[in-house]
Amino acid sequence: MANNDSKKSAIAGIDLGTTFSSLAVLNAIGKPEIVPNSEGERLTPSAIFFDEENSGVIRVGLEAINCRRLNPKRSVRWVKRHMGDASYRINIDARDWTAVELSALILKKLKEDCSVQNYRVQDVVISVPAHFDEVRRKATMDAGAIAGLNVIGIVNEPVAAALYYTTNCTVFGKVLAYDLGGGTFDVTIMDVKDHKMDIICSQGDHELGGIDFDKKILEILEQKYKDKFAAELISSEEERAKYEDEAEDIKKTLSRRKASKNIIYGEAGSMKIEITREMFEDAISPLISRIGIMLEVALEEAKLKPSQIDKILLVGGSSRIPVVQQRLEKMFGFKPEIAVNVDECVTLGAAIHAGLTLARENPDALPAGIATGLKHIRLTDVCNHSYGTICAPIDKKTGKRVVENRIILEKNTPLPCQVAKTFYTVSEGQTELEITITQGEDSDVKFVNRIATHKLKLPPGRPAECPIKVTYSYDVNQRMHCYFEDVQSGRAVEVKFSLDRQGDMKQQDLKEKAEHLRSVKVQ
Amino acid sequence: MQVEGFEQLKSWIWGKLKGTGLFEHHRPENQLDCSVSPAAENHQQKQKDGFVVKIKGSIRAPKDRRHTVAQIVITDVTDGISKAKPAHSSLERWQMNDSSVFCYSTELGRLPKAVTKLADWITVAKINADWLTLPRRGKRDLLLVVSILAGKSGEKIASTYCNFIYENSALGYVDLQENIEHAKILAITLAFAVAIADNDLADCELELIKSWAQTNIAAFNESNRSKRRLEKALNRTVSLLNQGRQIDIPSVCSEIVRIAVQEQRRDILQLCMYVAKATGTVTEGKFNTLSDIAERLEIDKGQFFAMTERFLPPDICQVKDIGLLVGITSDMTKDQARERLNKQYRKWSSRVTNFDPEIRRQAASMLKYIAKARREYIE
Repeated sequence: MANNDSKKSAIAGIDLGTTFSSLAVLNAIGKPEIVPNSEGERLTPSAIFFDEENSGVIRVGLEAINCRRLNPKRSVRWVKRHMGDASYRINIDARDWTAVELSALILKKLKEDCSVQNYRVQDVVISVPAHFDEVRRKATMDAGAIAGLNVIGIVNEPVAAALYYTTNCTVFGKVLAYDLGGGTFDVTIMDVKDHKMDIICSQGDHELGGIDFDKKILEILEQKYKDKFAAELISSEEERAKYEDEAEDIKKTLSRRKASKNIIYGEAGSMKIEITREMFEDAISPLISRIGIMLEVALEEAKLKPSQIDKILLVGGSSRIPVVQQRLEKMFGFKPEIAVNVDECVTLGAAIHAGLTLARENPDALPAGIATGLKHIRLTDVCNHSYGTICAPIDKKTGKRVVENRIILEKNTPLPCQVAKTFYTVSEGQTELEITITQGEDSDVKFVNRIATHKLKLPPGRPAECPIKVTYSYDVNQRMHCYFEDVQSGRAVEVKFSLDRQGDMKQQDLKEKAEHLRSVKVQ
Repeated sequence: MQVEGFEQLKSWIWGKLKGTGLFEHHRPENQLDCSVSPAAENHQQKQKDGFVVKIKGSIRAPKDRRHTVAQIVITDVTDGISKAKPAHSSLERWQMNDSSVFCYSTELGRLPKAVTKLADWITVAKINADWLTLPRRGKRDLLLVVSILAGKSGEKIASTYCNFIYENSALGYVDLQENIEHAKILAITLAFAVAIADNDLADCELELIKSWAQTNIAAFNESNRSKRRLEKALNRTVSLLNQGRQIDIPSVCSEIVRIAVQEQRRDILQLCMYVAKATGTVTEGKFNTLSDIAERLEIDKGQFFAMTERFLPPDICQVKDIGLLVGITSDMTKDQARERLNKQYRKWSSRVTNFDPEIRRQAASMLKYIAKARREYIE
């Protein structure tokens, strides 16, 4: 293996997917290229296996998938669905692994495999579903940091895919990026003029993806087996792992053929099972309905009708499912575009995004060739969530004071943006103001996430109704700044936005975890 | 400016009518009379009910000869002075300090002489009836007291009173309070109706109802006797229900609608919802009873739906009609149903990442129901 100095430093993009992950680097002229893993594959399964015979080795990728059938208790898949969930823990050999640490293992594998290809990954952008909230975005960045990556940004998956499309194909007009991946579904609508992209809105569903379709096939298998033998097909974790893989294969077959014939071997006996595309489509119809609603909601948010969409870009492996494409054609009146590899375009776009981020933040560090290659690309993203604060206005109907969430920065506001609103103190002699920054669309405080809380000390002896100016701004790097100012006294609190709730990790923790991961061998 | 508290005022009236106490301290030259006559005023083409208050007689000016203030309070003495109750006002401007007791106040200006004699009736106030909330509805005997105060010190320099009869068409605050308490009793009846919707009263449901009664019904805290009576009534109700006695939901609801405002009706429905989910499952029977109660309490469908959304997590509702859970009603067109579902989807999809696992679970269930409803009603 070449030493670090002789390796080419690379600006990279990573698609950290629910089922597969991959890494791309920008070449000398700013074109992204997928870097194959050490097994020579362009996609790495997002699967982890803790080797029981060699506790110092953690297997990630295809090897982990193969081992999973033998010992599912020591294997982990679909960790992305648990990103940001503080209660999620996998206990292996008396050690708890969080979703962030497990994701870091996948990222470490990608990074090290890249090293085998003679690249030294320097700055990286990781893609996330558009609907990921701040907690999940931060958790993703933490995973990158633990894996030893310098994460310079986060990009929404459909935006990354569209970036790659627009730099490789001629695209004009209102474009809908339809990203149906292994575990999540995102829709992004944008206005594209050559290499200039203005995001209009994004919508996402975190529990809609390939693995949900697999589950439906597994349900069919289990039901058919039960109907024939009056017995359960699956009686152990090992068997579940095996049939989950089988269900995934059947799903892929059904995208190519009208039926899939298989023999299944259960404890009560074996049987031949034929699953037709029709059966599959019937089973997944609730999920397809959900996709339909989300498309309509996205169009409503963009204030567009289906007829006003000029192009649909398909992204994600599950977009290959025929009924998905048929529904789109029926709704929009034209066929969706499959011009590039749906599995790779997010990664490739993330690499472009990394180049754009570096060009903006540290242009001197960007090689001239790459800078030239990216100079025509312009991207305007939007705020993915609404941000607000908790206040206590008087209800006009009842005359009583109520506690509610008031949105300050609305979802889908183009970035960078800054919004200011004035609130008023509640009581006479109020000496303190509790500041809460929320994320969510509801006015009911029960349904919003409190992502930061602070206190602002106020001068004593003042009447009620003193104005407090609240300013939220959001920059192009998706960083938020909040400023609460008591107008009369000039006293203020600037909230340096840090996530102090679930999914949060303190710098010291990050360092410790990164240190630990350095000692772990990932293969 | 100082104003008298109602208790002081009552004591003054009491003393005055008995011909003892305060009245004797007044100087003879401060002989003042007042009169009340009805006044009707056209306001935005609506006849507004009210009274004109006039005074006549002599007033001794305050020592500083500065300005004076006339203050008017009204007391309902229909049930005798010992049971007198003040008129209240919903307008902050006409409320006595720290209370809702009606207290009208107006500047009289500087009195021209040391003893000013008003030979003719002088109007000092026009009081709109809608400024007042009397204790009860119907024919009321009201005592109106006019006090002249020194503007600076607030010292009373003259006062007078008169009685008048007024036909009050609005519900009084005592009526309202009684209605509120009565509605609470009826709320318990409805809560029992929900609890026995499946012909079985669970212990946790009974406990919840009793606990609500103890917290919310004033009589529970009045005396041990009242408390015992209420407990006995509750136990008797349970016994009757166990014997198969039915609750006449339409009549109970109709009475509630008659006596309770919308806000209290919503509180009653909320209690019913808590009872419905007390066992951890809201059966179809209970859900339908809730829906029936909501309709009879004249709580609109949107409000009912918002409440079910807030208080009844969808994963505990065993409801076959998905439309009920997602807010689709039979009178909606396909487009309206679509609009409704999209709105619901937008709302719940933003909640799936909530920090609270309970809300996340609720959101995940709702998204499934919304998709199911879409297939049922739209596709």
